[in-house]
Amino acid sequence: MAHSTSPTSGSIVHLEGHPRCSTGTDISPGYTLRGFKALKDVSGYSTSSRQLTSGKTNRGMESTLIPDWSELNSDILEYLSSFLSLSDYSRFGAVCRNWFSVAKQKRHPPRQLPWLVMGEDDATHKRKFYSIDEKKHYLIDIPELRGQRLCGSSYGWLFTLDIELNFRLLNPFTKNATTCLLFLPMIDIST
Amino acid sequence: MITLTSSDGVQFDVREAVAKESQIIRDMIQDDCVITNIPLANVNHKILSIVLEYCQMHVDKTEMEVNASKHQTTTGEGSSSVPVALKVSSNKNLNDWDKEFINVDLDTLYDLILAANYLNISGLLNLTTQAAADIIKGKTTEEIRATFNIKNDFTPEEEAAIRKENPWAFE
Repeated sequence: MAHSTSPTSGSIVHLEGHPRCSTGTDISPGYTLRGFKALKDVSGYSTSSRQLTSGKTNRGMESTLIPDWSELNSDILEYLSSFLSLSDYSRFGAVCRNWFSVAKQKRHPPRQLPWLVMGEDDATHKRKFYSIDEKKHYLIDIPELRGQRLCGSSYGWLFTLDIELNFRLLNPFTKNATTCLLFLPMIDIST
Repeated sequence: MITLTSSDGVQFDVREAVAKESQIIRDMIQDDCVITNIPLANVNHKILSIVLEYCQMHVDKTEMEVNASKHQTTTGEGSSSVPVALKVSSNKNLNDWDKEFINVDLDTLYDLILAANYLNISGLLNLTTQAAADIIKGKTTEEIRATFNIKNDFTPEEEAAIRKENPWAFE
């Protein structure tokens, strides 16, 4: 894949020439389109637009750059990834280095209905989840969830209770983050 | 009217309201009200004409709504219920139109994303990136690479480590 040097591939771009200095007089009149009607004719990029670009004064026409999706800037990729569910997001991050650099930041909560958290699989002790969007079960090994009773959830965090009455907050999908697991102090609620 | 000039020298005369769908143009016009010609270095005429088609449609729809609700207010009857119904149907039409509009090939979609980002047209950026996301949905990593013609530039070890983080997504 040819590496794109497109000036449009960066997030910071400049308008060529200051508009206050621009007169527009150096544009060949033959290239002037007027009004939305002309605009619509060109939008199909059919005969009329080909005529426009095939003239001898076809000055400044950029050579067609091969789109390089892997090199889209991080703002665009972040925006794009915000429309993905957790499983799509995980696969998105494994496509190439540049996409991974965006995905690993996990700036957006996944765009999906919450998963249902089911019981543990008896044989493997993996936790069973059900994705309503995908109508699919996932068996996921989350050691921190083993033997825990789930009491509730909020914004991706699970509120868990174990047999010794330890309350914890766990975010099962940010496992690498140091803050994925919070041990909650005992609160005296007798008063 | 404002004249927008594409990177390949094609001029488009558009109403100020249409040009102002672009945040970057809106800012320029606010800074200096005598601007009439804006060269756009990063958008060729093919893409600019598609972008302007989008802007024109969205401005027209908004203006139609405003006029309709004004009309309702002056005639005085059912001013609360009818405009809402109108707005809903108008939004539905516009959503249908957007859906049809964004049904383009991948190369055009790529250029539209860059143009929407460059011109800062939030509605169009939303529409185009969502369209790209829709293409990604449900595909395996290999299928995504094949679709977008992306080379796997990870070492096998790196890729294995990434997959290991959420192995269930790759099963």
